[in-house]
Amino acid sequence: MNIRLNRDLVSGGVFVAAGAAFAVTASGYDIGSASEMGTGYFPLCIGILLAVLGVFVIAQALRSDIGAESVNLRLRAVLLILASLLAFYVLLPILGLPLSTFITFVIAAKADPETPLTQIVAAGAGLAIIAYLLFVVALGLPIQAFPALLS
Amino acid sequence: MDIFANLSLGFQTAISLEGMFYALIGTLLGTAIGVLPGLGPVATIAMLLPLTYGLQPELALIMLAGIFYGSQYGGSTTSILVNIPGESASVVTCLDGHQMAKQGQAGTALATAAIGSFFAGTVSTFLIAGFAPVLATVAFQFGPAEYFSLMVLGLIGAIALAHGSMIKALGMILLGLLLGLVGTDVTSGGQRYTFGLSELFDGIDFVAVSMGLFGITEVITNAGASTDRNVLTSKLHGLFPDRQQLGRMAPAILRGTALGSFLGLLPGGGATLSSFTAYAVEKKISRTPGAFGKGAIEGVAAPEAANNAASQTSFIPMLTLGIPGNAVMALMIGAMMMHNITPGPEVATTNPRLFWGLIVSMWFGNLVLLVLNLPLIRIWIKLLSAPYRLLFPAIVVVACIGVYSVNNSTFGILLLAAFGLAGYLLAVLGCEPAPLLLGFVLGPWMEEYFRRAMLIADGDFTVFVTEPLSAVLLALAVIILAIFTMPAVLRKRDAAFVEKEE
Amino acid sequence: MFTRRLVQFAAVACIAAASVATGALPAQAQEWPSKSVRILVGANPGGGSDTLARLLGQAFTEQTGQPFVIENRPGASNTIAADVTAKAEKDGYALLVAASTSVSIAPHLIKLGYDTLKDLQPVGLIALVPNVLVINKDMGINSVAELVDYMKANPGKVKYGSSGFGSTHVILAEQFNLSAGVKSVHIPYKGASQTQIDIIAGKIQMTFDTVPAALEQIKAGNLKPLAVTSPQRLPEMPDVPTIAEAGYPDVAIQVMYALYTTGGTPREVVDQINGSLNKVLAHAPVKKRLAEFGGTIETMDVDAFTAFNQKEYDRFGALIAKAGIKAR
Repeated sequence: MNIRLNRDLVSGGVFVAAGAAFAVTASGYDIGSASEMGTGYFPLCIGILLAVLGVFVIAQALRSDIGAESVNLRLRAVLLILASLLAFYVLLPILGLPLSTFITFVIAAKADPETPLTQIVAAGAGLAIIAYLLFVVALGLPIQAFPALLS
Repeated sequence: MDIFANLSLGFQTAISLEGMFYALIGTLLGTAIGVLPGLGPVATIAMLLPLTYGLQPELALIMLAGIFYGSQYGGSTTSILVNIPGESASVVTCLDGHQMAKQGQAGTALATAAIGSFFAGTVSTFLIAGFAPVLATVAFQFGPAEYFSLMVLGLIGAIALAHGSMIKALGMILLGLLLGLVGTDVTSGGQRYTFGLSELFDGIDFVAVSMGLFGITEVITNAGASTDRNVLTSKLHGLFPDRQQLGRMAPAILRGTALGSFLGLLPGGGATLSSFTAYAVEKKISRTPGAFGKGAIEGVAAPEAANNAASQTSFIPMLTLGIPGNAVMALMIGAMMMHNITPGPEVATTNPRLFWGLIVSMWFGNLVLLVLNLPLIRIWIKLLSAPYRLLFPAIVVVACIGVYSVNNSTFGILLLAAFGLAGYLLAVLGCEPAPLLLGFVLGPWMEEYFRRAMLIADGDFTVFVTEPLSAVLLALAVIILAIFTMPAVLRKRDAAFVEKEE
Repeated sequence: MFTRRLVQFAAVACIAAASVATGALPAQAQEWPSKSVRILVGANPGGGSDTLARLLGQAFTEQTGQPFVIENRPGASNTIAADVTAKAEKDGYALLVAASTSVSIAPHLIKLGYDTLKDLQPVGLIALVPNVLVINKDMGINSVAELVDYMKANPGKVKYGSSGFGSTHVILAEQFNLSAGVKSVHIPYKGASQTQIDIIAGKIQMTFDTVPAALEQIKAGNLKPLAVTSPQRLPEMPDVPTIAEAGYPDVAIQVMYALYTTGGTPREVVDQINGSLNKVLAHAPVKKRLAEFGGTIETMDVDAFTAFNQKEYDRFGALIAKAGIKAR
């Protein structure tokens, strides 16, 4: 998906928003004084600094003549990779390591639409076995190996 | 000279058949576990520590030193090959090392790292042997104000890690500082930005952040992209650096060694600064700073040398003062105490066999590393011959397992996803992750030293300029910042530093 | 962060190592422990309770044939480790080596996510460890009386280091301020080693540190000891008076090191752990090491220690109220 985007302008906006969010939250903590700083003193200062810097980035972007550029957001890759990570998060406690590895691998691999499914399945199964042997058998990480229902 | 008598005692201890055996085993195991992402030197040492309980104290420490160097080098290997850094030193290695790998020079990058580490290890071993007690006093020159100023200098230097916009790099540093503050405040015990999530009480896990920002972001950027990355292995250059590359890396290794040896002496976080300060210096003095971030060999050689030199000299405060400079040293002290040795100012006199045996075994560990890893490089780069379309989902899985293993909790995987997404969006905006990570690592330290310095000075801000050493460090920071921001210079820098938008 | 990972891996490796290294030792025929046991420590490696925990862990491992693994969880006045223990499975496989800081002091100062007296089951006392008042050696001060004079002449000029808000260092120093009628400024650190560097370098002037943490630097002449807080002088430094001799009996506070487990653990298991602990403490090498600390071993059964624990809790509560120490 292609969108038009002024990178510096948006970056500045992100800095302002993040800096402000941190600073506002910090103002709810104990601030203290310069000689006896409280919990919120340092984050408040840095947050304000970041927001100010963000304003500066925005100003620079507005003066600059670069303007908006076309940016390709790799939506398919973003969604599938995130889905694969969330799958691992959800499935690991339920299915154990080898099966979760396999499913995560398959979802992630689909981020490249041209890879043949047979190849993905074969490689995923291989990786699942390697992961089991390496992390569970050899290194003995305390990680669930098989579906919870089986044990 | 005493030093030779001492070193020969050390050699007798370390270069016994047994000593060599355990150094070899340690290095081998350390490398093997260290290449797995998420398992850095601390985890590897902790994991293998019990294996050494049954050994004589000298042999146990020799083996642990081997494990330490092995795991560190293993971490660099992962960074160069698949761009998933597990600790802050590896972040810097990623920048140019992985770019070299993409250009078919993975072997050269790995060899450079090994050679740089070996050289730095050799030099710093002699430093320890000859001057440990003198060098240890450096630690006392650095109070809270000095450390704070050193961190500021380091962070300003961190701007050089970015090859894009300077001001955005500064923003990323600040963002990293803020993220680093999440968790429990040391001074008051108060919770910050944890929103009641107990998983965040100890702060955001570094491994999840760095693997997300580097590994996952890169996977999102490249997965299914039309340019198949298999080109990277289609033609492998020779493993060893050629004459021209040697000419570029040799001085870089020298500078990295010098810088790292010094910073390693500072127990309050100096070693962490070493690799990226070395990188910043190389980029600063390079005639082709534009090449950095695109596979400059100096960008691998100097930080690797600096990191190894620093990790070696960080033994000095531990051995001479009994003061652990970092988690690894704390573990080593733990190991020594298991053998009824209390490290302290007197260990060199009360237990010379152990002291000098350890020092010689450090060097020996580096030698083993070199001998072991140069042949291994051929095997490592075989990994890259796997087609990228199958390699990238494997990277995702390995990152997941690595992050899980840090805390044995799936929470880290959520962080991995969040930082992977954030890293991708920031990359789209032209904001680079390396400065953020350094801010993230240094943030908590900076705050601690800042608050402590202010307390000691009764709230007087001028303490940072009235302490001479602190003033010098801050002046350096201001000069570097000025060079960046002075308009005339800025234009020149733009030409030299900023890449053309592609 | 890393510490947890460290320990979990260490645990695994321990099992492997134990089967190799200690293969000669038969696992004892008792219900507890039948698997690896975590020993949580609320401080960074290298501090007092850490040293003690490692010593105990090794002795427990040798005694039971099961791996005992140290898990450092620093932060929040050492209560993070206590919190983890309080919320662990109620099976006696999460032990906490705690000093007075987390179990007698912190509950009076900060809001905790657990009830110290209810959610932590007292197992047994390990040792009472004295503190030592140490100062920078270049101050030209040789006794507590001289220090007090100096502090009176220069109010607020003396800074004392602590291992963070709510550590015993703070309680002792504040109690000392109160008793002597002087003022000193609190500088929090993350651990004893950083404090020591800054005292040796003269950035700050004094601290009340535990004897084991300060002993090496005292022996090397880097720190000057002025008084110990034990009832008697210590054999390691016979020339150093007790704080009571110096005229401040209110500051004669020793640090209690004790073993806890999760509240609600079955009483049989708690008794078994107590038995194991007392056996370990009777072991000669352990005794010797603890003696080197200047610590006095006192073994108690679970009931006696529970009462003692309650007494310490109340005593520090009263002390904190009197010294006016408050969380901000």
